[in-house]
Amino acid sequence: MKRKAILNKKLWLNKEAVTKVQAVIVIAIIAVAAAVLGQLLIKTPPVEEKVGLFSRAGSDVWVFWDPSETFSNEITILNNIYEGLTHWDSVSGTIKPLLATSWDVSEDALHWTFHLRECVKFHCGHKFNASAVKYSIERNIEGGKGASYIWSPVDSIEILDEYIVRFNLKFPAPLDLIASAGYCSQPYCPICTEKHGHDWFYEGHDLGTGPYYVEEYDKGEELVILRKFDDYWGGWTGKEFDIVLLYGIPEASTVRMMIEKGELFITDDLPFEMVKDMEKNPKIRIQISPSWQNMFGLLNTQEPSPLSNKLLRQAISYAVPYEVCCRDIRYGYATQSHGTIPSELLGHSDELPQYNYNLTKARELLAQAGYPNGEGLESLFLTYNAGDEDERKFAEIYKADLAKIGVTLDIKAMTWTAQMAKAAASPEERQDIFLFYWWPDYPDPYSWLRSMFHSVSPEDIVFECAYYNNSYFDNLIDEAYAVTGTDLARAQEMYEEAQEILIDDAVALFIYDWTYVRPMRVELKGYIDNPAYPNAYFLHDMYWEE
Amino acid sequence: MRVGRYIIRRLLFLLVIFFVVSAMTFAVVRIVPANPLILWVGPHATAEQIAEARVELGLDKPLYEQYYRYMVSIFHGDLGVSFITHRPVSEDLMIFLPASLELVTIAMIIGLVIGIPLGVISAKRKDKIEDHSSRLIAIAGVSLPTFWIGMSLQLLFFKYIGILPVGGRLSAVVRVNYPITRITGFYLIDSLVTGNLVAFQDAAAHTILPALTLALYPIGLMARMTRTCMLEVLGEDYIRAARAHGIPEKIVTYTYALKNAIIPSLTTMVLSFGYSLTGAFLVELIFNWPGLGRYASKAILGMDYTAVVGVTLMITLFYVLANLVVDVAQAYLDPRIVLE
Repeated sequence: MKRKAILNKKLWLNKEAVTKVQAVIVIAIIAVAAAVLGQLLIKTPPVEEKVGLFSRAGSDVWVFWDPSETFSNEITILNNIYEGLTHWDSVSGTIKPLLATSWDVSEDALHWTFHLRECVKFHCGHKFNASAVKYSIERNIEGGKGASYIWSPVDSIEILDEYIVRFNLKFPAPLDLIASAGYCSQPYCPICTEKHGHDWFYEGHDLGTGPYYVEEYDKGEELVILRKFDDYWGGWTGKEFDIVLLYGIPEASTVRMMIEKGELFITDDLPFEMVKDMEKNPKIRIQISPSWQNMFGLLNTQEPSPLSNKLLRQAISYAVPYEVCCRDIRYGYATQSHGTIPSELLGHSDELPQYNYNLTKARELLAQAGYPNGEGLESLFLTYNAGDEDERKFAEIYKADLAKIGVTLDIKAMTWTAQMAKAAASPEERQDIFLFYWWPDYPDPYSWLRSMFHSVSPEDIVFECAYYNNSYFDNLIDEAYAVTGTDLARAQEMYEEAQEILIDDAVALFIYDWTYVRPMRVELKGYIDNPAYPNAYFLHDMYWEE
Repeated sequence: MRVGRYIIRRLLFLLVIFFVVSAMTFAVVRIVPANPLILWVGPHATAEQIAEARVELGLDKPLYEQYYRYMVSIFHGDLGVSFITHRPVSEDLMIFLPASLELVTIAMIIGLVIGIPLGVISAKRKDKIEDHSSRLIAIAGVSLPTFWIGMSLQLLFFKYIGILPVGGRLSAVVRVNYPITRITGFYLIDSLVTGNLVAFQDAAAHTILPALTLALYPIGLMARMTRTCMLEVLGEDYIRAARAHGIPEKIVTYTYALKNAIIPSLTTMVLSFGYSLTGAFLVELIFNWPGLGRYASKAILGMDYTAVVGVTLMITLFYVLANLVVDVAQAYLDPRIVLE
């Protein structure tokens, strides 16, 4: 009897235990099934607003929220929220009015007077005027952050009238170009900036004049939600998006699937093999346009690098298979560079000499440099940004071609921060070849020439990784920059001469200029690539049409 | 009382571990030559801006002073500011941790619910077709690359069948029209608590594929661990005795055997929880899941000192606490274990 009682008790316990386990399983299955069925059966209520779905490759859609500090990925949509005094029009290749309706420059290019657009409102409701321009630019300069250094020529800002503002410069500079910059150039509301302060911006707020304002910033999901600004001075036709979501999605295959399903309208970058594959999809359009981004191999021109020998630098410039690189690395979406300045920009010239792929010539120069067939030459050391597939492929291809002339190339992938640290180390520790890209902060060739090739003291090295030191070249580009505002023809001549010097001195491998390749839905209209604002969407011009 | 003293002692020991881990991580990330200031000031920064940032962030000070300042600020609840996101690291952790916790918890539950019964069936039907099938599932779950499984599930359920979303935590339309009020950061809980059923259903649908992908490893692990332990326990004398007494096989298996066999499986499960928080980064990457793993991997690649140390300390905390919970739970479940 006793044994039976125990057994019954155990049975009862067991039944309960099993029932509990079963219950958990059943609940879990029901929950999963309900979610799936729910997805299938419960239709999400239709939305009457026109929603735009955009993506930026990688994550971090926005880094610097204070408009005085902007200098990063926010370029993608920044210029929809904030607007500059001028705007670079990529179709005509000229500067167009934006918040300024016109401007005058003194003959010495030291005084620039801008006439401002009236009836413009900031998103907070306050009025845009000359004092807002003065306040914003002065705050940017004082802060000294982000791309604020573009205003370094400015000495003072005067308010001549409620809608007229004058910039007095320390030295001549093309201020109309500077005012069109994608970063740190746009006025914002002084009243609300004073009221809320710096940290308020970082919570996902804005104080611009643009067609869209930031409705929400989801830091976790890397998502920015923009809504159209009803009081926008440029008006609305009714076709534009009412609300725009910009996602940062790191995985390319996810982006691809979303575009194919129409869950994203456009993205700024996808691997070329994917793009080639997507060309066959009738729902996808691939837009190709020239860019102002180019790839360089900066050559270490200083001792103790063996590349301090000019003939050796010229020799290895002839060992770059330029055509193969454009074809095999960029799938044809690139062209060999003519000097440093890409096409459709001041300073560019198709007449500038180019190094071609010529191993015979390379061997001759190698022998003249004192290294016949590479004998006696130590290995060259190349660094590139780890994770950048294009740079990796270039390094591998180049290594194979250098080996053909007897030159050994050691390649090292480094994080960007480590690559930069090595480049700024002592001369003995620096690399011989520094692979990287450049694009301008505003549409001016000075950005390339100053940032990479102007001579600087060793403690100030940032991107001057060719360690080039040529005072004639320095004076030439400084003067070209000064006359840009008043004498474009002269500036063009001087920039061409400066590039000829660089090419002859072989201070870099001028590899290729990018072509932008944008996969997008065929229904998306109005997208134009503007190389002055790399990877930017101008949403006011875009709409969806079945 | 003994348990209380044990817990206090372990928590004090946690402080020591905290110091050691923080010092090691701090030293390791600084030894690697890198210049994260480039991230801080932007892509085309000038030398002056970099120099100013170095002073602003205290990186011009000697390493020991930087460490001292860092530890002092930690005890004031300040983990520093991330070089990449420009936000306080503690704020970043509060943003990214709930997303990971939600995903990992669901994956672990799936692992338990499927893995343990699979292991029991395997043990009971040793060397039969059920055992072989279970082994196949377990080995596949443990050895198939996560990114391959993840992408295959995306292709199948998003691209071809079209019933589940490809990634993210919420779809765009729901995000705009039915925003979730943030309470805990767990979308499923927050949406349910606030009665936002459309968002709950959408969030649940978004969780299925990443959770399933992440669950495959625990399923395999649980199944194999449970099988091994069950086989060992089923051969014990007391099981034979129970059977000899005519106790039904179900009771012998699920009440007597499983209760003893499940302890090592649960221990492994809890310990792998801490690992999964950052180890899930591939799944988070593929499914665009804004979790801690993705945050950590980006911080490491960018040499974001403060974020790397912050994440490491957070994981250390989880790991040590998980260990403590396991030890106490084991003592509770198994009277033979005495906490010293």
